[in-house]
Amino acid sequence: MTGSTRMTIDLDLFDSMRMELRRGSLVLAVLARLTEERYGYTLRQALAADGLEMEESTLYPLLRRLETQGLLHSEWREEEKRKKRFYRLSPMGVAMLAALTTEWRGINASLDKILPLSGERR
Amino acid sequence: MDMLETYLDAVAAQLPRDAADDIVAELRDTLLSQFEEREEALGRPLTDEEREDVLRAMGHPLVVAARYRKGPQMLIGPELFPYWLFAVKAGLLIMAAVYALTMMLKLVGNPLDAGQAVAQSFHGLFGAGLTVIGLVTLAGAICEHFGLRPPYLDTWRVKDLEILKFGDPARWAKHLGIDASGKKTGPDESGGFPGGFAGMRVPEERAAPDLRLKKLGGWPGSEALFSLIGGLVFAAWWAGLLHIPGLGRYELDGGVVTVAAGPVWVALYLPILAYVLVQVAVDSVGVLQPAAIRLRAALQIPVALVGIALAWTILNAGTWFVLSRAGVDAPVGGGTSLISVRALDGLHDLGRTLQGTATGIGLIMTWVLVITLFSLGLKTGKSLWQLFAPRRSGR
Repeated sequence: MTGSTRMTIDLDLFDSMRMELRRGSLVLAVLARLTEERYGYTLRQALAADGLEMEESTLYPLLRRLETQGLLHSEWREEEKRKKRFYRLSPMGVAMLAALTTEWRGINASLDKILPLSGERR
Repeated sequence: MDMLETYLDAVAAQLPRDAADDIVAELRDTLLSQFEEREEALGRPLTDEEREDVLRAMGHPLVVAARYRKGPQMLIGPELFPYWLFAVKAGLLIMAAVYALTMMLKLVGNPLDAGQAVAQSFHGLFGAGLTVIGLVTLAGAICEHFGLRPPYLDTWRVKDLEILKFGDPARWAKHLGIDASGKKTGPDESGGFPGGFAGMRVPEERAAPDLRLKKLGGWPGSEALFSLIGGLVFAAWWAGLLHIPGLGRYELDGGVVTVAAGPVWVALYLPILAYVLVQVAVDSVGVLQPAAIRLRAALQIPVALVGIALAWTILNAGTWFVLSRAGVDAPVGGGTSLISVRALDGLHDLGRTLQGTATGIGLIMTWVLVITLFSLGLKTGKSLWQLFAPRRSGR
């Protein structure tokens, strides 16, 4: 393959690597969105509006796990004629979000130094 | 029943009982919200097919419920997988080597029954191979489920890596003196396998008795040979001659867990050693005199009955081990009260705490003992049949 030939990428492989890349960041996104109280459905909509689509079958078990880990509080309340489970960050969740945000920014800063600008080839 | 309720019932049936209602209530609300959203967009009620599309998008009930599981989502995780793969490969290679050896002995002893010998060896190898895969997977799954982490994973030494050579079939062939084309080229210089396994070669004088094999319906010596090898390894370990590192210390959720044996093992130390040695002696008779089926059966019956008595005593002994972490103890024990489907069902809900791990190990050991009792009962029955069945008049 010469430098002038544009290399195509395997889309399946790209999809799998993209999912892997996103997986860790979704926890951070969920914690960040739960600084305000929300129930699962509106949380998913808010994340989708932010460009972070997430399957329900991933989101709800994740919320449950984060609650078991003490990072979220939840309570059942009636809204729009139905009982809904509302989630919000616990004090430990707030501290965890701050620590993970610092970590995330550190990783981003490091990657910014390493990664080429869009379209640039090394 | 409504389509939504059928779906939720299917999910609920896979969930831990204490959490099912809560999880299903949340899923119901989410799915109803999605129905409403789509109905609003379409301006009409959804058809059954459209409702089913929404449910399908949520995921199959088995997948949805599995994501709520407390334990790992896989039988063998990526960390343990390389060790599992090596153990399976090495185990299968050892089985293949042992069956190849027994097949050769059968062929030399009775060349006229070559077809039967080859068929029996392949049949036996298939069963033994499945057993190896099953046992290694069971061991790996227990570690994965309870988060047990053998210290070897972090503290392995270079001198221990010699054994990894057994994962490469080409090296086995080389040490057996067979080149890539399968042609015999003469034995390896070391005269055996690497890593001190030279003793595995069967001297010609030991193989000689098998040359006197008479025409038999099968060669019971192969079963005895496996039992003999297993018995010798166990006896060496039990007597302290064979050291298996890391058996008494594990990591669980980042903390070191030590394992202390319960008093039952001290009380039964000599009876178990004597039982295994007697079983080894019986197996030796089976290997050296494979045609003496009735003699072996007569010897096997009292040994199997002693085995049943020992397994029953262990099953009802109370505490088998004590797991300790940071000054907290969790006894591992079992008993006949755990022999129920309900008890097995509870395995999913134990969690990865020290107490949950201890309870889970106790439950698994109980069932292993039940299977052992069942197997020894079958062995006794088989031996009684071999002893008292009417003699065949000949072939």
